Amino acid sequence: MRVERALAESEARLQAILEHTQALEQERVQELERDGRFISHASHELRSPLGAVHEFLTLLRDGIGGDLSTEHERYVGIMLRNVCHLRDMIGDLSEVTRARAGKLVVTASRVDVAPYLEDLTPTLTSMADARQLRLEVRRNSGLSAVLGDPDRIRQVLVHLIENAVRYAPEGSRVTVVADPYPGEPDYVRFTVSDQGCGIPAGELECVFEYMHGATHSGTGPHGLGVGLYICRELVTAQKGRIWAERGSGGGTTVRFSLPVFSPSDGEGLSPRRGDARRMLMENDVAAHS
Amino acid sequence: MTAKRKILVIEDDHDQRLGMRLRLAASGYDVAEAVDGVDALGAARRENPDLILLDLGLPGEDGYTVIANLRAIDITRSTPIVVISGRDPRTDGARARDAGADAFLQKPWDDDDLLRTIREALGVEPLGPQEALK
Repeated sequence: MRVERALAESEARLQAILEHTQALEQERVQELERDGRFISHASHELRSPLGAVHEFLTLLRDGIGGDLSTEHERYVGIMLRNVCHLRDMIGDLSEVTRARAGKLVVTASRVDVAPYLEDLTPTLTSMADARQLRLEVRRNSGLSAVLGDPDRIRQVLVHLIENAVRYAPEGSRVTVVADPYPGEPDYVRFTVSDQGCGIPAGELECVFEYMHGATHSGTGPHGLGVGLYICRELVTAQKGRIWAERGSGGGTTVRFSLPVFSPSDGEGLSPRRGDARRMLMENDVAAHS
Repeated sequence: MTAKRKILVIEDDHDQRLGMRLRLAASGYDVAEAVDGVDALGAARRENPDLILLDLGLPGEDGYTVIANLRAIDITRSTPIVVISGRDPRTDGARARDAGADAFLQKPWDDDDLLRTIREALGVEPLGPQEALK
């Protein structure tokens, strides 16, 4: 009798713990959703006055309010650069909130890698030129197409180049390569490498973790420190993988892979079934947090 | 002489409206303004714009309703509508297009993007500032 009673009591306690855990999880999800709604609202509200500041600065820069002295032009340029930095941080804040809530939207379509990189090269080159860096983009014209979101791939590459530009010494080289993933025929591999100070060996595994950049020296003053976390979430949402390595001659090498486009992917993209915008993939927060 | 194209700016914030007006006028466009959805319908009927720039967060009716109302009257049934908003281009941009907008730009907007989008929507080159003064 005593054993049966003890078993029943244990079962009741386990049930109570389970219910408590479920209630806590539900509370956590609701809190994330509340935070997400607030940050989305705040981002929108911040962007509006920033839009006015940006517009009037560009009007001044373009001489529409009258001629500026050389010194005034320099001041306006500094203000514009900082307004753009603020805009980018607001963008990161929105993205990281969506990523934490599992709400990143990725719109998959066929991306032909070689012409895609060719189109993107002028943008990446202008970023490197700003710091007198030499950008080299290499792609194999016979590369397979990938299944991904062209805007999201661009977002990842731009962020990786921004990092390289930030840390690489002036005059050094930044390389972007797209090639077949050795030993993984179903993936294409993208590589961005620089000749900067590199990531300490002990941090290679964790640089993509949430808040790593915000809590480690060397990245804090330049932004929110969530860029690599966002990159990881974007790549993962496209069924790829991202990782960092020490460059062979120093510097940092970041690689990410994306799945090769296959004809069966194309069935979901045909006009009969709806356009690419219909193919939304939300990231699975439980799998990454 | 070619007539200047007219753009109706629907934006409740005075500073942003003024910034857009100055930029568009300097780029060779005539500009009309409205501050909310009701004002927008009146301005559309009065001004017969070639293109509409629309904010989503308006007092009273929101931008989506304004798009629907503009699409419901003959004079703006097929007038290009470009939404300029601080909201998310992936979710709100898709919703705006579904409602009948032609393009979506996020604030703070890039002037080159704005002017290129307008040119594409109009299918013509705008008058240059010098010609606009004639």
